[in-house]
Amino acid sequence: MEDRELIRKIKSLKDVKPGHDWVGLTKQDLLGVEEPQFNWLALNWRPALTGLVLSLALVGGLLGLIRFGQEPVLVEEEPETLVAEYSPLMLLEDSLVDLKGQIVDFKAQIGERSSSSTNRNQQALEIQEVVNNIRELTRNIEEVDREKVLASLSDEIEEAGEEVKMVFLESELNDLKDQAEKGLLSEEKMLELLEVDNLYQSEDYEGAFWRLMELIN
Amino acid sequence: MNPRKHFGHVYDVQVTKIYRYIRLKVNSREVAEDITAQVFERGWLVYREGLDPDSHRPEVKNLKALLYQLARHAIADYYRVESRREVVYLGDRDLPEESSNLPEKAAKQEEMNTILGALNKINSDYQDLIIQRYLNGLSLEEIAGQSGRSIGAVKTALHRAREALKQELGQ
Repeated sequence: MEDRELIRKIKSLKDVKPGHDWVGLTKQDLLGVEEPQFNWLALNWRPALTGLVLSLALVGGLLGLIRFGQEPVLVEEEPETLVAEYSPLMLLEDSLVDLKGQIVDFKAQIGERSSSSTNRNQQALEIQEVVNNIRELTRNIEEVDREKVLASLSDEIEEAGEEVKMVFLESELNDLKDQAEKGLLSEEKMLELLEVDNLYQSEDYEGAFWRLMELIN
Repeated sequence: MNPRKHFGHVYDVQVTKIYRYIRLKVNSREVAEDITAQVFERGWLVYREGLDPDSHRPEVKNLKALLYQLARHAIADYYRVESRREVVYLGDRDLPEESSNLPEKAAKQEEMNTILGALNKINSDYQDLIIQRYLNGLSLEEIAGQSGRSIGAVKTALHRAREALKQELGQ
């Protein structure tokens, strides 16, 4: 059996999830009812996004260099001794590790966001763009990384990129459910929320994301 | 950020993963729910104590790692009582509720139980690696950090875990 097939089988166990009601009740038992809070998102979102976009641009630039056949860069620390040969692929690996860190930071910032933010639609679009860039980037890595040296790192970056969207989706869904419980959503919005939630539960995350964008627009 | 709010967000993101990690090691939804609730209760307590300057407990830097650590201990405690041993099996209620197509649902359940049966036969360390990496999406760095191993050692162990799983699946 190929690893890919094995991993597909393993991932079928992702369907193992706790009941919706249990999740809500347990949270309520544990933490009680949350007080509404001021939204700091506008203050902390932008730097994380900017850092991530810069890292993406840097990695993109390096990939360009490699694709056009850049010769290895020689790093000479002492005149007589060649200390290290730093290949573009090694530089790329370092940059990818940084990029992964930026994605993780960005994901954490999204996870900390709270309700009542303005410009949610804009934020969703920015996330979509970042995720698209990450997808394209990992495809390009596969092209230059023929020895599969970076395959695992590249997979992790792609996965982290997809998780960014998931965290945004989950965070928005939770905020909207809170609003629904407090009776702050119209009947029409409630129905739309139900539809998004159904898509989310059936793991159509792409569909849920776009439906959510329509809802918060 | 308000600690309650922060913990609440961590709960939202991690509860399914921690539950899944536990459910795949115990043979009932109810037991998995009880243990998961205990893990988060304990995590909330440890997290709050870490924020209290008068407490001897250090501040929790990585809540996710703490929750996995607590889950591992809770499962070990569960099996320590009366030297329990269980064959873990998924029932109807573990499957997605939306699926109304019965043959499809049965096939899915069979596939899930086959892989789970094999997973439960490999050693516990390999089980953890497979669940954390492929089901809960932890990075190699995160797994290495939690287990105190190098990334290279984690990669090697993951490879062995996959091979062990294939062997159990009869491939």
